[in-house]
Amino acid sequence: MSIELRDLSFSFGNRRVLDGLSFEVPDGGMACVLGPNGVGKTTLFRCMLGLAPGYRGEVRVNGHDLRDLSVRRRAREMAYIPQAHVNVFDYEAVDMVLMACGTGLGMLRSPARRHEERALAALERVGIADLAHRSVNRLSGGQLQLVLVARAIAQNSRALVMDEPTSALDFANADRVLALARELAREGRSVIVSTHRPEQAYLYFDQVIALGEKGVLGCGTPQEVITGECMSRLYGTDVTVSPLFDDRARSCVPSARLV
Amino acid sequence: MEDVSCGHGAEARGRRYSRTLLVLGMGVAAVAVLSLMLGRYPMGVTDVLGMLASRVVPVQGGWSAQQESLFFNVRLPRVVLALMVGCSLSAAGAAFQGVFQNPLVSPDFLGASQGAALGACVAILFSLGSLATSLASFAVSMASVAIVLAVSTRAKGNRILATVLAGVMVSSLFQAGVSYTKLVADPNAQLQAITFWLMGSLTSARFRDIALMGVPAVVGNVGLFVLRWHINVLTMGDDEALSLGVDAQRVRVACIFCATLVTAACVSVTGIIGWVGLVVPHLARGLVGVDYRRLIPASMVLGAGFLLAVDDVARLATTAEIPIGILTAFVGAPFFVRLITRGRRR
Repeated sequence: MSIELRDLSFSFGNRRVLDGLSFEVPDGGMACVLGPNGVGKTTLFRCMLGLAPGYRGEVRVNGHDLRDLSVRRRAREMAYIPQAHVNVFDYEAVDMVLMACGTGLGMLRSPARRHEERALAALERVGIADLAHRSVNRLSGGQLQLVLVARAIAQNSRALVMDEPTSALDFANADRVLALARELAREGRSVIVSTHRPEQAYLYFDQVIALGEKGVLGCGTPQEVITGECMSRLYGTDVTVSPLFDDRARSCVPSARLV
Repeated sequence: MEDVSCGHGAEARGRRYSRTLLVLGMGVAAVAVLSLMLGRYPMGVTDVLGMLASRVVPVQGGWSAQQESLFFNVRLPRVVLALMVGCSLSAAGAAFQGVFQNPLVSPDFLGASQGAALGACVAILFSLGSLATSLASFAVSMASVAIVLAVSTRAKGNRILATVLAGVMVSSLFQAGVSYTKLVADPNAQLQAITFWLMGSLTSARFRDIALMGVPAVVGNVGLFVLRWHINVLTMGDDEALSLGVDAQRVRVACIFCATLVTAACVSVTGIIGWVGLVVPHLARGLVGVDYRRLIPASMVLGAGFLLAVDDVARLATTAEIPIGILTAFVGAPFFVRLITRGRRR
């Protein structure tokens, strides 16, 4: 069992954001968290990564309670691709990927040649080895996202958490990033991604978690969760969901626009 | 920075870096020898090198005992101090800019300089002598940063912002203390000494001071050198650093401790010398890029040469010496303006 949440709750002061959440994502599973803005998707991810230690309930990662793991151990279990990455300094892409070596290095040490090779191999894996020495501020949004995916690959962890990885990407780049995430899941990692696009959730994922204001509205296969009824309840507006290509994809449209 | 897209980019980059560092090192050595030769009583290059060598191997030279005394008691300590201070302040500045993810930060950002100033002023007020003044200044400087860290760990919310605010608070508090010592100081003797101290100068360089303050300076510099790659990870922000397996707060406190150690050591001997720690890291970035693995060593070497050159101007430009703190501000302030306006255009 790879990632397991039991009765997870989190509050900012008096405002409760997450209330009694429970779900599991197995090894090799590719799970998607859907939910309206402000429902706490990022907070949920921060809890799962140990970045918001004030949560109640339990998070188990590969069988260990998250609270028992050191910073370094946690990073070996889980890699994180944040929603908004800000570059203060203009690193080269390969140096950015190299930062994933922190999990294996003592505080007083610097990466060696084998780490650099691992970083280059990760860039090769995502198909941008030719950009290794390009500075990150000169990369497009899609290329930067691929650099972050490469960094997560170089981190060599068993689970991968991506917070809205496609929100700033065009159609083709979004496909490239999610297809890559799917490949990584097929290799045995568990992958959890948040997105605002139910169509994506249907097309790429094995499991969909619909996170509403009052907790989990639905958790199961995309066929079970991406339905008109569930999406309408989730987003608080009428949504029409129609099957396409023998139900291999589904389109989701706000019904009011169809009249 | 040029764009290197070929497969051998890493090796080319490494070679370019080694070459840059070698050229910088040779430049600093040349400036050092030149600085030893120049002065009110100029010395020849053979005499300078001969006197340096005479301490290691027995060399007979044509220099007088007077020249030898001038060389070893005045000129050499001053050059060594300039190199040490330039190296330390630049390394500390580079580290602080990474730790606070802000390129406009200088090493006395958390109140190290103001703390040092207050310690020195109080010591001067009690007429304690130069050694005690240095020690008091070092102690208060370290204490001021300790207060900042203690306040920031108790603060709620964003740790970095809390540290910055605590630094501003402690700095202005200590500055008020300095103003008060000026007010009560004897205007004929102590006030002059205080004013001169605050302007910063390398005139008082003695080997005794260098030996004493050299210890924390070396410890801090070595610390920053070994931590340098982890500063890269810190610039990603705490959340990312933690998820990359780096304990951000621990690395940050270690960096702040080392940077404060070197800053306090330098400032307590020389008085306040601003701008070096802000300007030099940016010049070094232009030469070797932003990666701290290369930036810290390059800043150290470049800073040593830069401060030595500025100090040469300070003591040679006019018959009466110009305090070096004033000169570094003349160089630093226009540079700072360029830095922020260039950032705006991007």
